[in-house]
Amino acid sequence: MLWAVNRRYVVRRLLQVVPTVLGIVTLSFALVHLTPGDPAREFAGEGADQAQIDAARSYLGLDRPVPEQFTTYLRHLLHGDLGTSYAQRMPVTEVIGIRLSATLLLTGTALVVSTVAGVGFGVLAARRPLRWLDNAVSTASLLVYSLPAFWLAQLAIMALALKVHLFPAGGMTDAREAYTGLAAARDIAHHLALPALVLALSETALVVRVTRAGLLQQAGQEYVRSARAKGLPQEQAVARHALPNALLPVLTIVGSRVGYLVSGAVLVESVFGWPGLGKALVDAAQAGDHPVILGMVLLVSATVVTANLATDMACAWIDPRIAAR
Amino acid sequence: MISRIGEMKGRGQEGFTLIELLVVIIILGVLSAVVVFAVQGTGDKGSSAAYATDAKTVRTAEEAFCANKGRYGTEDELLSGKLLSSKSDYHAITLGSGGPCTGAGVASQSSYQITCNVVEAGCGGGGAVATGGTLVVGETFSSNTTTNVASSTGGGTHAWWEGMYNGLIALDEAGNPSPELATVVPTVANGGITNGGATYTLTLRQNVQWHDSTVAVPHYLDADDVKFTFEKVLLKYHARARNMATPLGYNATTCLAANIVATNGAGSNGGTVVFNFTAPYIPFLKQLNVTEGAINPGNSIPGFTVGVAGCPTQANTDAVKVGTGPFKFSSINSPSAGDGKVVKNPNYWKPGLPYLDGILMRPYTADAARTTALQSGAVDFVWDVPNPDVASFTASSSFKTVATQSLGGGPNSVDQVIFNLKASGSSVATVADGTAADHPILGDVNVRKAIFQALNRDQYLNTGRNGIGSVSKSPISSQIFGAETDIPLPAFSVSAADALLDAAGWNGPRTTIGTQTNVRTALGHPNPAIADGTALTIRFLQGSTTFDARVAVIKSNLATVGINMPVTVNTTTATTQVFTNRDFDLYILNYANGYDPHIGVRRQYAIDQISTTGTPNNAAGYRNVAVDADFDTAAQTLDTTTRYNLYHDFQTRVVADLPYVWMIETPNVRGYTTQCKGFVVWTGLFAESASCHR
Repeated sequence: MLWAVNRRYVVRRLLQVVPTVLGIVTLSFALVHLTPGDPAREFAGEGADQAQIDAARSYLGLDRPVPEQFTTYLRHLLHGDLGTSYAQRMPVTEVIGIRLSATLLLTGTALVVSTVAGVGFGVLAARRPLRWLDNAVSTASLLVYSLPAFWLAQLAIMALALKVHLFPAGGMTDAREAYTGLAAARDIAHHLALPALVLALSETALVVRVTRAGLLQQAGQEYVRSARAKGLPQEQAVARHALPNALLPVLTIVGSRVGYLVSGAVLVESVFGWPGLGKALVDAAQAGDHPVILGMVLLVSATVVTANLATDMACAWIDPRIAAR
Repeated sequence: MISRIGEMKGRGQEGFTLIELLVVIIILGVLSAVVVFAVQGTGDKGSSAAYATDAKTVRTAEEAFCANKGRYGTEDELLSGKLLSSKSDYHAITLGSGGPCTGAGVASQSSYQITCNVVEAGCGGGGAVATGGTLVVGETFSSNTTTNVASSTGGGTHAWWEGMYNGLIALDEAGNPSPELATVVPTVANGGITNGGATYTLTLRQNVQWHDSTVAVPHYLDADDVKFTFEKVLLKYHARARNMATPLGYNATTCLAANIVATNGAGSNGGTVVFNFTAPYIPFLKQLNVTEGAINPGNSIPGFTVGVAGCPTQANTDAVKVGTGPFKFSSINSPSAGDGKVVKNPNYWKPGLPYLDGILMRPYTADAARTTALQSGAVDFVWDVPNPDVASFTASSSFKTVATQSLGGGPNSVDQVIFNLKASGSSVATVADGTAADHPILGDVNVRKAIFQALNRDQYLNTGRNGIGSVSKSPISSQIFGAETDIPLPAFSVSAADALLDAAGWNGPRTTIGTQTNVRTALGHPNPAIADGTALTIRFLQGSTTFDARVAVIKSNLATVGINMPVTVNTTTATTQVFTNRDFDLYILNYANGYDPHIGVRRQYAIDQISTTGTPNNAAGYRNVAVDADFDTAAQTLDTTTRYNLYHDFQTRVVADLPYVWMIETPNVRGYTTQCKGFVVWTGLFAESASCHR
């Protein structure tokens, strides 16, 4: 649809992606190689002697000149090979793969919940500005937004897991029962509820405030007044005319969060023992596991770039003036 | 009734409104809840108190028996000795290996164990042993893919996977040996130790089956397995086992040890292994348990054969995942990413064990997550209760906590502040051969002593570890043979530290660095390279954030005596910075002392441990040939008194030289639900005889 509207814009944005990703790859590779430490020693393991360290260096290709290492890395990258984890001794794609679904489930659920709830409460608050409902929603969102997620997580665990036993305190599955089918899905959902809720809350607060502000701004525009003057009821004027325009900044926020879906929620994953990428990244950083760090930086940056691109496209589709600029 | 209501209305007594009634009901509800919660558990606490008193009575009787007889006694012996008036209502006594309970350097707490027989929370969880079920363990470490405990000393690897293996010998918490895969503990008396401690002969149990054994193709432990394990795995990759490489005639290039002679039993079942050390090697028995010497199946690594030259990679050794232990490998990353699982070995050579169907290990690396997991019942057992939470778990009747000196990667650990004795940037070779220049500040033993005396180690223990542990009284962990408390370590004294620094040439006008206004400067320092007015700045390198709170105490203590201590936290390259570049002034490590000074203490001082390869150990760059001689002679000396005297001499020398500050001994605290019992917390085989009532 957008393609039909403005081909040049789409092509230009797509072309920007290639050098951006290449730049990120180059920069990440350089930074990791500038970091002090000896990956060969890490890979050879505790207790390795010099011969074993040298063998590991040769195996990893670290005895080659850095430009050659970089081209080799790029060549492998094009084949989907991100290298081997020093600490876990398995392909980085596998390290990421086994944790990606857990992170996507957590952050994706949080994103959906925060978007739906945020827009809903934002619309409710904007319907009667400065009345009790607006004040209540605004105050609550401000309060929630100002609470650090890890603290909120601790409170949630203490109240809802340890006191009333409504949810499990951590993990993604029950460790004692091997559920299958629907029971397994229910088990995961039960474990997911609390961390997803904690993660969603602060995002919800942000979406509420942006939605409310956008709606109030749009409600005062002439085109809304014209719609009302032509006899359209207030609710319909807001829903049909003001809301789509008010959601543009919301879309931008949600789009930027999509990009961070894969990076996980480091603190929330740690507090809840959620086996996702955020936790894996912390472990990799502590272990000096460069290939995993590099692989995850690439994954996150590629997702961010793609999400930004998709967001720009969506915005241009909603408001064609953006593409025309 | 209606008429009575009418009368009341007539008198103006219209009763309560619905709202008033609701308020009353709510207040009553709240009060009831408060009372119920307050009273709940009173019975449990009463029972728990009775169990605790009974246990204390048994312990007191044991200690009294020990004082009289020099060993611990059975319950019947306690009764006949009138130390118990009647049999314990709740507890059974199991004696350890029967070693002496007192004596120089021998720990006195661990050669008996009392087990509760009552099926009730607060007394160990149950009397009759329950079978089946999965024990869920909250792990402190996340690294779980290295599974072979014979090729690693990593704490994560050992905490996760030791249950899959056995050693030739088992050790109790004090390090006393008992037979495991070997039929008897070799001694001079039974002929197992000959040539003055240079030759050890171990006879293997028969019919011990490997995990890959089947009815059709049984696979039994034999002598070749032991030789293969030592040649291809232990002597090659296990950091502490490598101590034995040279005296066993080991060639690290061919991975062959000429001095290990294996003779298989009939049908490759059992047999005899003879270890011929080039000189007597007394600590050997302490290096044969599952932590120090787990046995792997021989010829299990494709392409490598016992007695044939060739070295597998560490990854090769990891791929096998087969042992003789009570639990068999099942899975990694299932049901959740990061999980590890072992299941019951139905052919385990100890009849009836294990009781559990399996163990699921799940990483909870964040302290808070580990605590809540145990509190909520998500896990049954945690390896390391976070120090701030120990008191609340200990007070609860639903949980049990046990402190142990044993950690995943090795027992009896001590926090030590390390002095860089040589100038920054000195090469390993020059430090090792003694030609490197001394550190311009810390090369002066009086400055080292001043720092030692400025450190308030009680504060360090209480602030940094919530009081869990004890302040070191000697350079050797108090839990093992040889620790000498008669050689006093420098005592905490700010005034003494100040006097030493004054005398060492650090008595110039005070200066300000950052917010610290009292930083000492040099005045007439004997080292001409240190000009008058040079500030006394000592850089602290920290390799792990674990030490954050503890290092803050050190910084504060040193500031008190006018030392400026900038801290650099470098979790990835600190090892290189210390051992390769010597680019530090102070550093901190937690050294596992092992079960004998030769295993874990020697490595901190010996000249051959000044290295960048293998596992670097002598971080201070300490060099004293007399100390090396003490260790080497002690390792070859069978006579206990002579060995003890050699370790005494070593301690006298290092207390005079002060290459380290021996801060505190750091036990770990295990925590578990009282629904489970039977744990042997000081070993990775902790759940071999564990059971859980649900």
